[in-house]
Amino acid sequence: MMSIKINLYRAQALDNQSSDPCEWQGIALGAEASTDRKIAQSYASNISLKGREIYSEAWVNLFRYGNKFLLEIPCVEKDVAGRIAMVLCCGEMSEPVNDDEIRAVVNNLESFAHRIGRKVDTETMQRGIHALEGLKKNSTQVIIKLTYWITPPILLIMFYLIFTHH
Amino acid sequence: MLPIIIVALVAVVSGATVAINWDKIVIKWKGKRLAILGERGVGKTYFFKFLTTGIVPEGYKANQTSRKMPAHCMKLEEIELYVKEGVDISGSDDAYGQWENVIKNADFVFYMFRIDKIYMADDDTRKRILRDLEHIKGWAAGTGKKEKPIYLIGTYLDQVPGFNGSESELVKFIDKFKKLSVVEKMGIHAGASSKWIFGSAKDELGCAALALEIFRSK
Repeated sequence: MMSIKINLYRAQALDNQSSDPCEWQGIALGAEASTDRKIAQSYASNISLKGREIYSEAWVNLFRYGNKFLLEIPCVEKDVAGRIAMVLCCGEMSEPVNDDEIRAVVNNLESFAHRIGRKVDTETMQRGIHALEGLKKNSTQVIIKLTYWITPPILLIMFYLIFTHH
Repeated sequence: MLPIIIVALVAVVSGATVAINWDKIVIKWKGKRLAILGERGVGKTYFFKFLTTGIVPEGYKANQTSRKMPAHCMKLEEIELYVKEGVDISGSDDAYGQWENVIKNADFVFYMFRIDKIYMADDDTRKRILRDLEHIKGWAAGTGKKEKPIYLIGTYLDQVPGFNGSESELVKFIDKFKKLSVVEKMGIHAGASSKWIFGSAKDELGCAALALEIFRSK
């Protein structure tokens, strides 16, 4: 069973005027779909604002907020103002995620970039994979820390219950 | 969602430079919340980053989602500016929901726009600016509080054809610019308490000049 579900792909229009390319829950949203577009925009901003930035290198950024994440990678193209043009994806993960799923996230993001006429270089793709692997490690570390902190109190309670009942 | 907050504004008096009515200026800005808005590519993030880090980024990307910016303290000539953390919001009109939230919590609205595009009669820019200001006016009025002052901050002044940057040229330019019908409409939307600021947010000097003009204003 797939443990990563991507809900949003998004990019900024290179001319800074047109509607931003946006695919929300598998559907490409036109300019007229303003309600869904606002929902999608809020979904992404919620993750970047409330979450933690757990990776940031060479314009590849990864945010995590609970089981949600936002991955942003640069394209080769720049916008009319000369700024680096990013594409992003947002989704949810149920753990554990595996390497194939991580690679699929980056490949699918690259496919979205291709659909809107942009290119992502190989180094950026590799960096995206590396960023998402950090997500996997963080999950494991959280589990280890939780186990470390929860186990002693649970053991104490168990011993207390056992001895008081005797 | 909180806008950027000015924690304190302090005059550092040195030599013979004394700001007139400085107490009123400090009272005006201290503890106030600013919403910095505008369409894509007008210089919001550059200005925001300057206020919150003191520097303008070298390489730069378009902002697609909202980002938290850290607190910062810096000195601009006679002013010490303490800025509490804030949120840098996308200029896409898909982010209108966030714009509305920020305006509701703000005491001042800084609306940034490109002077050069208005001057060169870019129709898409004109329509977008008027639409933005109409929304901002509605959201600000919807809070039920007294009118929120809107600062109309024009950027890309250096890109206006034929403008050579001199003081006398600036005065003539501003006079001519304010007579454009779209600019008159902008003033009406922004309200009687609005103020106009003109400059460039392309580098630290430009951002510093904009910030000084804004924070020195009575």
